[in-house]
Amino acid sequence: MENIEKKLREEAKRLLEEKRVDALVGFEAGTLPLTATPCFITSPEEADRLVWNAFCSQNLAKYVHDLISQHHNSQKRVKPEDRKKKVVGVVARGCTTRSIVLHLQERQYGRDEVTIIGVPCEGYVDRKALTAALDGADIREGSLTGDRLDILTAEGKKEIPLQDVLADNCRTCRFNNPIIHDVMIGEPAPAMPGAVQEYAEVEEFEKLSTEERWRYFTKEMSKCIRCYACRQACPSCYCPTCFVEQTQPQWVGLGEDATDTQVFQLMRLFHMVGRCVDCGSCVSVCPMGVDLRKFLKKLDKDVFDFFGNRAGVSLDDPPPLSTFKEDDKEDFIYNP
Amino acid sequence: MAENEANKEWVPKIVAIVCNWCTYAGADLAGISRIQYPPNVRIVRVPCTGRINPFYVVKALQTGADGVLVSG
Repeated sequence: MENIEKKLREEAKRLLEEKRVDALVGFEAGTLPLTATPCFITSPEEADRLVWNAFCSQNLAKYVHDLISQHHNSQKRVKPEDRKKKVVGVVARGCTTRSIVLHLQERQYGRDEVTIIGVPCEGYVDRKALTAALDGADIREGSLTGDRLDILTAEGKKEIPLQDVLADNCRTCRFNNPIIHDVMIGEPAPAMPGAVQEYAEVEEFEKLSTEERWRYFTKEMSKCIRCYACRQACPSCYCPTCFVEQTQPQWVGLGEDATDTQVFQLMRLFHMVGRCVDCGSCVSVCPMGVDLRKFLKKLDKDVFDFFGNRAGVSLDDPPPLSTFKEDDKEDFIYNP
Repeated sequence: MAENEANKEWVPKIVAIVCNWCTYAGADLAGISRIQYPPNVRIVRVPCTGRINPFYVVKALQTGADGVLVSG
């Protein structure tokens, strides 16, 4: 990891010095121990702020989209011949590149507007799992050595194996190495051992009866306080006006009615069909610990079963819901 | 009144979102031919089923419909 960080900084410095990127999105050390926070770097001197470790949880593709679309908007009133191109660099792991592939397929920006610094990934720490493992104690100091977290809390020292606190989506990650990249840092990471049973949890859930599944859905959604953090963090949620903010017609009521929350979550989930890259950003930012992943993974499984497609794994694979193939399944048409 | 309601067999409330050019025409024909159809179906006519937003279905179910029929 140390080595990767060093190379990453060198590479970032080089890209900025050569003006191949105007801004670089990466992670810097957070203000609290064992955290990392997204940062934006525009000059070569700042490149030393970059870090890459197991605490980098957000999907940075969200910021890439934000920066580029802001730039596109700012260029709208400029004469075509005076328009400037802006290139955004990004430190990207597997899921981040999948999101970028998805953005490219959805024609959000051009491949020449983004420079991808690919980094191998072996999973990130789920903050909620870490807090649970420490029984909610505040972390005073902490360090990661190999696969072991050494943590100092008010109650004393504690050692936690990294494997115990990895995020669920990382355990079963199939694409932990960048799908596309301009510069690759370090050797590709080994495949995650849990990838073969990525749908095990969903299969378990599918076995439940309709009532039980509905009960689970309503139970999970009753926790939701509709802060929309999941939407803000999601790289696939980039509509300029989200349906929850539309007022004519107002699709979702603004009160605390439970059904309105369900409608919001249900529709957001539906918008994720064939577009969720399972980066876990929504789950990691959720302050209430809503189990969104179960539903997203179910939709992911359905798309894979029906169309043999996983979101953003190849630039040549067209998005499943916007393509028609003659051999698409038609078994929903039947004579009752 | 409430007792009467309770004694009645439960019938689902169904919202039918139908296309102006086919299903609605069919329902209209049933009307002119004086063929009875169940009163628990509430018809919403749309210019084409392509006009339907998934929200129509979700909102119908949210606001108390037991089923939604999309036809066209």
